[in-house]
Amino acid sequence: MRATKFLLLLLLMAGSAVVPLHAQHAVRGLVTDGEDGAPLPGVNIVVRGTTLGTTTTVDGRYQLQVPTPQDTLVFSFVGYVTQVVPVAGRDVVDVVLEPDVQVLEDVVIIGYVAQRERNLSGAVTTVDVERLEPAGATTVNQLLQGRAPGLNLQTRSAQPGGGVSVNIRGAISPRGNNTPLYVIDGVPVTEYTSSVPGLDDTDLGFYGGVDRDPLSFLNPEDIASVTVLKDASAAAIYGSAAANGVVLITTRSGRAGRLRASYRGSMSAQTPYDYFPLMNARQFMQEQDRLAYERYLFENRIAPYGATDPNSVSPYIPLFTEQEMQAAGEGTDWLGLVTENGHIHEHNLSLSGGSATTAAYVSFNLQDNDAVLENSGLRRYSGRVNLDQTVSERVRLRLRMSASRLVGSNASTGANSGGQEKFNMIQAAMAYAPTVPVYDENGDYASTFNRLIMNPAAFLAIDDRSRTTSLFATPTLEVDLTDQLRLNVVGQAQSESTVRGFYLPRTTNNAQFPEGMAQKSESTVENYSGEAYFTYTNQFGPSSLTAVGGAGYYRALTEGSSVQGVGFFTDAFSYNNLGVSTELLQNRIGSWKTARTKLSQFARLNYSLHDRYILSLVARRDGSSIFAENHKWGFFPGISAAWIISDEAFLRDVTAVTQLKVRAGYGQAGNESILSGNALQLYSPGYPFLIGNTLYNGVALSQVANPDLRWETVSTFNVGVDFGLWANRVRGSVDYFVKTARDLLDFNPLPSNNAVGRVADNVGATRSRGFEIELHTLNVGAGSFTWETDMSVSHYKSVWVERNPQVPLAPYIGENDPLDAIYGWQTDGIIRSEADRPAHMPAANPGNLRYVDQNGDGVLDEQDVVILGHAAPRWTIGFNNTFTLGGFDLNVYLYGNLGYKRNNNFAPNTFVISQSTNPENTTIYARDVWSSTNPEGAYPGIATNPYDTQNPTGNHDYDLKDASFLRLRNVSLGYTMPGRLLGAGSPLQSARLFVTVQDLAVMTNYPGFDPEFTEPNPYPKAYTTTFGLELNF
Amino acid sequence: MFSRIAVLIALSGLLLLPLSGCSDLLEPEVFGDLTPENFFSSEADFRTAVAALYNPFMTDWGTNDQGAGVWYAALYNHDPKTYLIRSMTPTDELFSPWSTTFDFFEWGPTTFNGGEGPTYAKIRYVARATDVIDKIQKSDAPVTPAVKARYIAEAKALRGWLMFILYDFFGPVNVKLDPATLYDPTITPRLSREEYVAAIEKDLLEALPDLPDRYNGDAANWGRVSKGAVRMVLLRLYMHEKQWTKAEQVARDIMAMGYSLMPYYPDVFNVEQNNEIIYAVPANEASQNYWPQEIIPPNFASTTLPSGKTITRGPGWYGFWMPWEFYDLFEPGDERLHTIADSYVTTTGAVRTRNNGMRGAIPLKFTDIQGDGPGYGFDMPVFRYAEALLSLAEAINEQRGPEEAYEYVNQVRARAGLAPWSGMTQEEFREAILQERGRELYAEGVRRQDLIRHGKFIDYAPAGASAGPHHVLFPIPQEVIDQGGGVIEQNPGY
Repeated sequence: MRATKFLLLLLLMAGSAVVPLHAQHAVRGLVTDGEDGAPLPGVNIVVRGTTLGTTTTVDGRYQLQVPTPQDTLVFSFVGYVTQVVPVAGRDVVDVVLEPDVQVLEDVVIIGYVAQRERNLSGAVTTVDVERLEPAGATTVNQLLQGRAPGLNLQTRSAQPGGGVSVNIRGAISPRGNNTPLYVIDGVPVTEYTSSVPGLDDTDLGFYGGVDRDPLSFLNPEDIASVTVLKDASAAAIYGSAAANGVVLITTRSGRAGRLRASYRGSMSAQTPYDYFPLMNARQFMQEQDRLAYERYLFENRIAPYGATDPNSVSPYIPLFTEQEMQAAGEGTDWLGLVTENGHIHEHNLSLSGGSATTAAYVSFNLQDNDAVLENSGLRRYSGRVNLDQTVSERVRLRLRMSASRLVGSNASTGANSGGQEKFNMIQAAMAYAPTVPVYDENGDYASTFNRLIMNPAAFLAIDDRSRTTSLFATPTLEVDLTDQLRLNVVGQAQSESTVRGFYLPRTTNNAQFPEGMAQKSESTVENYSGEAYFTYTNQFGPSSLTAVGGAGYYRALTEGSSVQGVGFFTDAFSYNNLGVSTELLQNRIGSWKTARTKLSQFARLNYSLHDRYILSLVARRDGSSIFAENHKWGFFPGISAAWIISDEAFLRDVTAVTQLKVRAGYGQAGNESILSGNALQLYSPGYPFLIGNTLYNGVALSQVANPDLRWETVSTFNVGVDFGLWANRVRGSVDYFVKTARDLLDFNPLPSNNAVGRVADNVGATRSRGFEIELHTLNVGAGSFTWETDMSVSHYKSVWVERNPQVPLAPYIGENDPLDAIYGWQTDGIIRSEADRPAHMPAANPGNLRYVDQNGDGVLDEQDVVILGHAAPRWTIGFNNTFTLGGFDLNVYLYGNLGYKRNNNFAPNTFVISQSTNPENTTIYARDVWSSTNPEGAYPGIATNPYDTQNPTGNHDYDLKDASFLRLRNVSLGYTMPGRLLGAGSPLQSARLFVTVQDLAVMTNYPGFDPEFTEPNPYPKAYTTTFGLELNF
Repeated sequence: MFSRIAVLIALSGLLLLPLSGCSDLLEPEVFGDLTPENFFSSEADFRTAVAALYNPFMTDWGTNDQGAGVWYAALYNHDPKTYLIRSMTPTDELFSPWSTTFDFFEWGPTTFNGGEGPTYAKIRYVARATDVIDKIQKSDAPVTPAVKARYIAEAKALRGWLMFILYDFFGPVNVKLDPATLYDPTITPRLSREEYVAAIEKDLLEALPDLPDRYNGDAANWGRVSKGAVRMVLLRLYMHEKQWTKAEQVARDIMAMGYSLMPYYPDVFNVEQNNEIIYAVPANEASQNYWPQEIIPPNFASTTLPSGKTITRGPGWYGFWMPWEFYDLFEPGDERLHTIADSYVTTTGAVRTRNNGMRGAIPLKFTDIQGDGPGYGFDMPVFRYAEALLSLAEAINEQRGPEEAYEYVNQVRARAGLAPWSGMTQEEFREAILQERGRELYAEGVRRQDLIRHGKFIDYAPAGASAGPHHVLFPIPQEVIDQGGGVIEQNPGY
């Protein structure tokens, strides 16, 4: 081999030595980039048929002696379309090289092979990343809503970097995981969790409200493409992890050629939306007085609640006098005290460039969000180096590497686990009486009537910080063994860890921790993998074939520990010296670890005939340490086919049809979430008892073995059409799918008298059916004005196909009911007078809800339960419009979730406002609560409804409201400065100024807080107005 | 060169993986739990396994039962859902304004589902005790037979006691006592009353010989069941069954064990491990007693008790109060009133009394209150000598009339600073001792059993309650009936 090369070289040298004997011709010129007109350095220029050549200089110029004026020049540069230009006697030959857009845009890497989009046969959607407006966004998930039909996202919390619930084509695993598999730069993220540890809530009661999206380490600006594999015919290549579809994220890579730098800086102002409407001091006093008196009447069974003689019981003592009520005004605005205007600063710098053998993309991002809750913020530093190195003609090395740090200052929102002494900041601000000042006469935090609730202002003294460090490295070695056979070896090391400290100072006067409390915890999530696969590509006449075969090893780990110290003589240490804590019996320590290993083999075969009949076969075999003994290995196949009709002779001449393709596919993938990590018999700690002064951590039987446990299998059938009309001015796709989950992971109940109440088992099946439409249109494309529209609509419904035979269904549950059905009693108004009391509710109290006796048997029971609605949106839509006029561009983006119900969270809490001595504030709608003095009240009264304890579901429809919404997510206006304004010779290639307003409006009939945010005691949301600047050098 | 290594790696990866079977790599890894392979192999393991059987009894809130995926309140915690509190709220001694379901007899089978039915759920610990007894018996750990026997006796005593608690609330249930059936998913019917009572008695009697008499003064073991505790469970069982002869005998056995009454009633609850306490659930800062917090009004600043003792602390939750009708059952001068507040000073300095907005008395019980809580280290007394004396008196009266019984009841009355009884008919004595037990044992969770035994539970329901004869048993949770598919019968009337 080496000898032949040497000989060849000698021959060539011999040849070139002859050339100078001929007549010569001098040529010079300038090579520029077709995209932005910039000079291109390093372009190879060769005289065709010879070895004569040169490269362009730094300013893109060249000079060359060619043998004859009739010679032809070949201009080539990595990443650009090669140009062949005859000299034709000219002295000056200027050339414009066009970027190789085929390579950049039309090819997607899907499950170990790069495929042209036109040849895809599965249900795959590629998101147009250029349309996303990443300014101010922490995670890519927040940008994807409504962008890919079938990819359903729901933001749970408006907190910075907040979590997003994601599913593809419906959550159909009632007990298992419904999140898709994320594959970043070709490697699967096996353990998709944020490493931010929650607070130990055992004593504290609230989790600390951090709901961090696991992708927040990834700078959205670095993302080059997002592709969603929606059906198992495509996703099966990811086997047991792919039941919920796959989201493939590829980061930007460097482009050979001159160095390009771009900068985007932005500043956003966040203004809180109106939050829960609470009562002011005067309203609070008036409603407490009215409802506490009503409660007194009820508890003593005085009319209208009974016949007790009012003189026979102890008298009613009002909490507020008439004069106090008259004198009261607005009082303290507790919510106003803990919210503020927020802002986000963001700086993005990226560099891209390279030589013929090396290309690099380097970026840095700083995002600093001082959010709308006081003391709440998130700052991200992230850096990335993506390197493509050609080692030799046949060997390439790729490296994708990122490092990021997220520093969070955490405010407490969300759920809690306990009573008023365990309220978080939002709960406290909502419950604190507006009649109470912030500080008492001693300058300490004042107490409300219920003295267990910590003063909302005192929450601002809490020091709660988290520091997350994330590293992600993916080296890939690609070797062309022959012209047809290529080998890829891919490694992955991903590690994220968070250190969190929390200190509740003595000054907060917390009811449970008067002497202060500190927690310190650390938690790590790690993913490692190694994959090797061969790719064979060949052409046989009209057939082309790509075959892949490979194997992989994957390991995921989580690990962590936490410490709680109680009792500090000073606040000076914060959480940095837990050793000085004195209440040793209340101190807590804990640590944990989980690990799993997976081994895989995978194969795929892509075959196309005449480039229009396409067949794709995929398969994967997975073995996992979390699978039970008798089902260690699973096999997951997929098949799909496509027919590009538009390439057939009979359509080739129909100019209106640019592209028409039909596809169909079927496949199976697994859901590997195992309910508790393994299927062994376990004895678990967590059953403590105090003997003497020692708290023994008792260990009890907690899990029984099921050696037959296996993964859920999801089978999807998909048909779709891709079309492009009138030179793709209108293009899109329509898909219909049926997705069936079998062997559902569920806990099979064991008899109530067994030591363990449930065993993980595979029982039942569910099915989701739906369709998706994606449409892109260029409505106006003439001259300097363009208007483009992107639209996505998806619809699905998930139902039960097969129930667990071991769990008898309640009579009101239908065998094939929707998965998200809300069961309960229907209501029919309020009992306002004796005449309103239905015959089937003889014991009901005035002010109670009237429940409907569906079967008219005179008894309220499970026979009267009906489906009141459903909880998951049936329709998801996205609607994006982009207008350009001259240098201006305008983008308006809406998305919506339609067709589901939620309880109205603005409904007043009648119980707390009607307390005689320790009332808490609630929403303004307390004024509309029924009482004997407010007979027209719209909300039920304070009397307990004796039928509530017989309601088998505990649900009713009185507060259940349609939560459909359309959100005006983004309005963005930009101005790109014309080149001439930048000045000739300026290194600045382009500049764009933009202003974006996020969350401008939500259109909904839902009467409560934002219908999308499911977090209880939600983080307040904000309008975000961003001003930014983009510069390209 | 480089590429050849890569080829080698890839090829070996492709070829070797399927062949080796990779059995080691794919073994499940368990880090935070134990498996049958590494548990029950030492005395420390036995102690830890038996500790879990005590877990249902604690005063702290409760436990997330990983075997059920549900958080359950503990039996002797003071949350409204617990065995202790549901033994009081349907009676005349306690009213809960939080939820009047139990005050007004509005409960039904669905009231006891899931986490709302923590007492029924303790049936799982009966099966766990069966597992622990079996595993310790079969263990070849290097432990002496005497030590093994004591752990088995503890497990049996706890199993018997748990079975009695279930019986008290629900009647006989389908407990699992045979280790061979532990993992059997077949639904089994409820036991007959005779079988069930015999099973409780058998466990308790078998446990007796291997347990020490008492742990009073043994600080390291305080909280373990002793002979005294087992005899008290037997006494409650015999009283419940109205087996007066057996009740009298076991009460006399207890009298012979050296227990005595504390001279001053409030000290019984303030002095730990005193000679009157036969069994108390231990509490300290790591596992707290929340009773004072539950009953103190939300605007409370201080109160002065009839003894002159003043209690100052922050506000509480006001979950329960003692209705004035019950408070008025105490005779003037009764020293037991030294543990009940009938007035208090609010945070604004106002004085609240029954004529001034106070809805009921504050049944403090524990008067040595230091600090604002919310939790305290007061042990929760479950069995005390005074109850044994009163039960003995009642058992004697039922068999032979009051003559021999005065001696025992008057010990308790004398300690409260009250005049002795004499000259009653059997019927008068029966009525009187019911109320004496109510005053002596208030807020200790025996009122419901007492009223039911005396046939007064329904009569004592408050005005407006829809109480019926079936309410003497709580219903089996609806979810258990549903799961039972007709094999598990509901209690009559529900």
